[in-house]
Amino acid sequence: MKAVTDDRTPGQPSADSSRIPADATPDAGTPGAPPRPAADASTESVTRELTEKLRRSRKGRVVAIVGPFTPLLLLAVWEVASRANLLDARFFPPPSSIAETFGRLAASGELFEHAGITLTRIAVGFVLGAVPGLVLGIALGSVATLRTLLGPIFASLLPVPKVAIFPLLLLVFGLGEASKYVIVAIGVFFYVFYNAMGGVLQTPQIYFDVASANGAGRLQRWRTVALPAALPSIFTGLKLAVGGAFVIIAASEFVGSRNGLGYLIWSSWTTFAVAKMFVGIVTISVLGYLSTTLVTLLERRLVPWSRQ
Amino acid sequence: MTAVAVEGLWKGFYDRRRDDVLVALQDVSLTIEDHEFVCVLGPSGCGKSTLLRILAGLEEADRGTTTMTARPSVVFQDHGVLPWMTVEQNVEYPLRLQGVRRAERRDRVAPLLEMVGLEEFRGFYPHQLSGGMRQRTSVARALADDGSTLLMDEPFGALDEQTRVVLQQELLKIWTHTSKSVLFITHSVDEALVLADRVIVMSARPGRILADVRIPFERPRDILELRRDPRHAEITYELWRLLRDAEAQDPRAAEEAIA
Repeated sequence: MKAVTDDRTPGQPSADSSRIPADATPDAGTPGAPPRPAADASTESVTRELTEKLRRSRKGRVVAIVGPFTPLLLLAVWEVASRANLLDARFFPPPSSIAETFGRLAASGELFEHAGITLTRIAVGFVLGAVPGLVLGIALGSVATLRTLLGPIFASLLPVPKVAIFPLLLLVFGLGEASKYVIVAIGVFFYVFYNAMGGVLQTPQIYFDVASANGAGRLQRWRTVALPAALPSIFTGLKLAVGGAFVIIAASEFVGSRNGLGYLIWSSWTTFAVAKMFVGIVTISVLGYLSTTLVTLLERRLVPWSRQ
Repeated sequence: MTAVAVEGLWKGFYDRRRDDVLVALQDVSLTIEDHEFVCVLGPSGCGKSTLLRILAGLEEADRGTTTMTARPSVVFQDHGVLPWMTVEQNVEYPLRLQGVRRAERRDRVAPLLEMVGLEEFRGFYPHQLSGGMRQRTSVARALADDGSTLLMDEPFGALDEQTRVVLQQELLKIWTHTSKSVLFITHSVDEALVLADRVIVMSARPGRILADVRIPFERPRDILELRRDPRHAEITYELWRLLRDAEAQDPRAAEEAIA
């Protein structure tokens, strides 16, 4: 060990100093070992080298850039398969011909009209469902009495298929927009409600104790502890809710509507306009994907403390 | 003036499975004067944390009374720092709850962050900090709360020896400069001797007060010189003997110790 220490002289080239962490440890533990020669110049250059290296090697950068574009690969495979007759072009027309139809529907404004109507229904229904889901989820998560009394009501309503009550909603709210808002709201509510409640229930008691010990009242405890602690879980719920909302609205527009993307798909089926049908399907999936991305971006803004 | 007065405190926990009541505190009485540093020493599970939680208003006593001049400020054992707040937001949390305006909060918190050496880390989230830094955040928060009494529940228990010694010294420095009374819970005889004016020794379950020992060392205390003081060995022996005898007297605790 002594030999190692003596080996290292101030004049050593910096390439060698990069080994320091590897063999410096035994020295540090030796009592009375002579202090390591201070190599100011080389320390600086090694630090710079390290900084450069760490800056350059941001792991997973390529994967992060490529990731969002993988659906394009799927489209390419489809195009080739359809043109080569590996897929029946009557049921799976090549994406290029779907794109053509897409362009036509977009130019006539028909597509945007349907998409706008569907998005409005989702947006309104989402807010109508998410807000009470959030408030009730946090309330039931925080107050055991409420949970015991009201929990079973929600638990028994959860398994009812949301689309199955659409006829009832049509009876109650009529054929207008209200019935669509309500069915989306009901679907979204359960996702947000259960995830918010779960998030609060998983919060370690110590955080609530910190709030109480610092003089927080009930509402302050909800706002400064229960809500932020449950946020990561709430966002999981919101992302699931976006997916669920598109499923529900499409199904509802199949049967109970004369417009919207669901209607576009359904009416294309009845006229055997397969390319048009795909335009509807693709538009819905693109909008769903964009909406989920939006929620993810929002999550990064609002949950900066979670390690991602 | 008396800062904290506890009179005949009892606390039990009902164990539904065994249909049995576990007595955590049995007739506990104590007082803490203004600007007095009192350590409560006892084996784990002796109810010393329960005592602190009752004083902090987190738990209700079944019998007895507690009197305090004002709401105390608390430093918890670990993880008492809120993960969704930065260091600065954590420290100013009590002020925010009191409705103090943002600009004033920043002004009042700045010297505290400097005092605990965290001003460069004010924008960091707890998961980016070391255990020692997190605990310093927690201490700074209790100082921002500025209650006249500081309740500390084994605040340095989860830290490594070196960090612990540094934080003990910092705490003593802060305490010297303020007029706060401190109730400090620990299971370490050494820690109690470095910090306390008085050490209150508690028995294993059910938690009772066994002795109230005055620590005679003058301040400021030098941790190395303290160990050379002949009285140090004597008091250490005395405290250990009290703890050991308490264990032996209580058949239930002895059984558990064997198990």
